[in-house]
Amino acid sequence: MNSTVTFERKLGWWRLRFGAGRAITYLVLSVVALLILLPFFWMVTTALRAPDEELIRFGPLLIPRHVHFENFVQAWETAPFGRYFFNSFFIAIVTTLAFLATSAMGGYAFARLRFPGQHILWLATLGTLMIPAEVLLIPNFITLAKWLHWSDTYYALIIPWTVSAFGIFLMRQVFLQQPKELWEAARLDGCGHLRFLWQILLPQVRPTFLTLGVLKFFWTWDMFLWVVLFTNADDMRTVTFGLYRFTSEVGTSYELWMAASLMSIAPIVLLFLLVRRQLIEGISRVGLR
Amino acid sequence: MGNIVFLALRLLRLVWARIPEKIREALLGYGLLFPVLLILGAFVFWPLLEDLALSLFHGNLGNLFKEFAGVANYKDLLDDPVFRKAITNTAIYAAVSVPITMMLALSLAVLLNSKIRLQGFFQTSFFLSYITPTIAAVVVWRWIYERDHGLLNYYLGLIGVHGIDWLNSPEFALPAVIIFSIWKYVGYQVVLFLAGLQHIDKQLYEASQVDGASAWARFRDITWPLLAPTTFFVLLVSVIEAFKVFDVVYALFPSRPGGPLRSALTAIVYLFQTAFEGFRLNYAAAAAFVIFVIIFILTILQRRVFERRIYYE
Repeated sequence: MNSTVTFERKLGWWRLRFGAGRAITYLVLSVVALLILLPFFWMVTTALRAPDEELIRFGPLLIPRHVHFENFVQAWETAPFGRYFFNSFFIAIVTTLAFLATSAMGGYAFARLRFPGQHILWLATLGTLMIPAEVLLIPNFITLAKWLHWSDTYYALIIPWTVSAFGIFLMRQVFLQQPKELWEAARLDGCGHLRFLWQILLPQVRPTFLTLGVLKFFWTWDMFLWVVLFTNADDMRTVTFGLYRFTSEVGTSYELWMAASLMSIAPIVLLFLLVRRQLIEGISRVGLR
Repeated sequence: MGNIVFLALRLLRLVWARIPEKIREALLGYGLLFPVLLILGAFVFWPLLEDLALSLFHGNLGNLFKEFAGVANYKDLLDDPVFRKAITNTAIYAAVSVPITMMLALSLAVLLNSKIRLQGFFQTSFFLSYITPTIAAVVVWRWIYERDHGLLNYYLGLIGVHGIDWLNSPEFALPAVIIFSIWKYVGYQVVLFLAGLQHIDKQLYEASQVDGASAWARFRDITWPLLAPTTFFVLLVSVIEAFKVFDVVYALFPSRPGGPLRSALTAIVYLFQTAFEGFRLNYAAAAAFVIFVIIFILTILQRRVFERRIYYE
């Protein structure tokens, strides 16, 4: 009898503690989410204010008195953002497609085919994971700008980024995880390697393949150093580099800065919101960049 | 014309079918790897050798291999206060930003891992800053960091801290970079930690709860040891990323990349300035090689852990 009472009391205490813990959990998570989202909120409110208008205090937040959409129009007209967007989309789409192709091809060659020299080629490919592109800037600049004369061309911005050991490594991993019987069955039906890869294997690993593609799109859109180095002409700039130059050219009119930033992140944020669940699951599975 | 192409294709198929399967497989393998090897060869392996070669010569833009210099460039680097400053700054940046981000991310991941609602919402909000293009985020933060009307100083003013010149004073430039990078990367690490946490067997927690272990004891005795591979992995990836930092520093201080009095000059920014603003390509090639060796050592450590982790799963 006594022990039951103690147990009951203990259970009640646990519930209370658990409840309080839950409240604190939600509080902490909400505060951090707010801190992370605040810059986005400010980006929007500042983009909508009139030039030099002071924002008014609304609780802990600052908001404009009136909403002004002209900033977007003015930002769009001040710099050729249409051209920047075209460049960014073109470069990101082409790079991503080529990267997916080379990753699938390379991954397949290393996972499913057997040929002389394979092990050495595999080690060489893996070895490039240890060499960050940043430290190869100088020789790559000499190759691309001095020998190939590719400054201010799409080639310089696309071709070096169409292959990465990471993509090949990842595709090899997922190909190896697929059952061997798939290939044996396909071969009995007279299916060749390429058709097997395209029609059977790739659909099997679609979630990973798409995650890889979305990430590559984001990384390519984010590319900055390379664009700074290889573009001089205004009409070759990407959104990222165009935005950077825009901020020095218009001076400190923050409402224009924020309008331009907001435009420049819009496609990425929209894409992210569309695929967020698959992307976060994919990254959890894949684990790294 | 169409007929000829058709015939040629048929002929090719016939010939292909007559080649023994082993050789066909090898040819296909080399064919599939051809673009991969071409690009990696031209833009990774060749440049690595070229960088090493460049670093052993004195030269100028017209003639990069003017005279053999041996290790002279490397010797000069060791005495170069700007290079040392860049490496020190990078190390400080890594040593401060990485542990703070990781502790924050781990705590958030543990909180998220309990049975709570809105998990998806929180994860999405945390991840939003990681997915936002760096330069656009930096532009917003330049506004936030502004001294007189900036939002950070406005809020700091409410708690009595006034007039910090985040972007123009040598004391606050590197902290500004660090705060930004915590904001940018914490959500990404939360996702990685959460994935690690979800691999831990729930029964262990249930058992310890029956034993009456406190939340802290559960974290110390179950979560922390079992999460160790993830933690070490995140640590090394972040340290390497920290050593490669460029965009933030370059864009946060646009009028003087490297910050006031080079207080936020990092390794890759130093490399960029030496090579493409000072046009000392040979000297910069030596600096690049030193930075490469530093990152290489960190990467080997990381790969080791990574391979072990894959082994476990």
